[in-house]
Amino acid sequence: MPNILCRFILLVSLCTFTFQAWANNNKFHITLENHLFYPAEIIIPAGVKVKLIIENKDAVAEEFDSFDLNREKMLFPKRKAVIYVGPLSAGEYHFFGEYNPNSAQGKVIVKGAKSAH
Amino acid sequence: VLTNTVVLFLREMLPLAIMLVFLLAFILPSIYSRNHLILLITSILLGIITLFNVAPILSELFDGAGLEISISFLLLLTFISLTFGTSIAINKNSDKAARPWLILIGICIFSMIKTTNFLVYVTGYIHKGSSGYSLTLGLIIALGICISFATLYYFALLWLRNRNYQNIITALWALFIVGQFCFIVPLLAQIDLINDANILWDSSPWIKDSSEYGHILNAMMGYEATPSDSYILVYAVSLMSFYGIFALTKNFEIKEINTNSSEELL
Repeated sequence: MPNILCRFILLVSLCTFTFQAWANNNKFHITLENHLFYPAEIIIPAGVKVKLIIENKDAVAEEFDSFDLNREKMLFPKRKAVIYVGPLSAGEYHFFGEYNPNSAQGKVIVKGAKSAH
Repeated sequence: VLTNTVVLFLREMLPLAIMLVFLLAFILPSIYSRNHLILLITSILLGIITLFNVAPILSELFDGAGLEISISFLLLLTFISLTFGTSIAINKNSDKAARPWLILIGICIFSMIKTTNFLVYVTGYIHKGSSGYSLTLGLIIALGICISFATLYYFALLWLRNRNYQNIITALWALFIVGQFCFIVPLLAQIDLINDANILWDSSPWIKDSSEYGHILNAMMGYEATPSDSYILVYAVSLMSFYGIFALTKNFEIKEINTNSSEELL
């Protein structure tokens, strides 16, 4: 009986560790400062859903917008926002700050086997 | 700033103008009083102030999904209230008390969502301390475009009504309400509640989402150049629900007329 319990605990720990590793690998942080995105380019794997955590360090609101990714998200000042994107095929997907489109620009570069649609 | 103000104003206010044109052309004048108008304006103002102040807090709830969930719920309320409200009003149902309130709630919530988005941009611009010249000029130009489009659309709707093209008018109204409601699909997809990764087709070589026609068609009927299967599914189900509600209220009206006629005969 203790042997079965030990195996069960080991299995649960392994699953939790794998899930955490997967979650961490699929998280990407972006910072908005002085109406610029840092980093302006993010490389993500093809065919995988990823979580973008965007922190707006500016004193004014911005809107994360992307026609390519079909995403629109309000970034309130001094707050963090979360957006999920994908699974995407390989290619480049542009995004910009709707309120400052000339300065706040960036792109998600998807690398992998599948070709862009 | 000038171009950006025009684009943002039209993106948020054009759907609002289209909704008001429809309601002004067919429903509002017959069922609304001055008291309703005062109540409507007061409710919209209070709603905008509330949403504007609460939105930053909502945005961080539920692991960053709070605002999307709230807006989706408000869009669902708009869809239900406007669909039921207009179907009852158009089918001249005897339940007169429900008519103004349902439409009033729909207008109020929809105006609140659209105006708050634009207000966030304007306050951000004012906060930066820049000259208000470009912003004011942008607002005037955008307002001019919006009024011109709304006027043309109003007369086009009246022209359709005078020729008894009631089905086309209902279809345009259905596409508008459903198109606005379907905005919940990308909202829920970006917080990982539904999947919108399976793109069904790409019509961007003909009409891009970012083009003038793309914006106008999006406001009129929720046009998407690259719609996902979830988007089309929600669109189809909402459209069927709209016509289902219209058919139900129409049947209810016919039954009620028959009942009243029978009572009169007796």
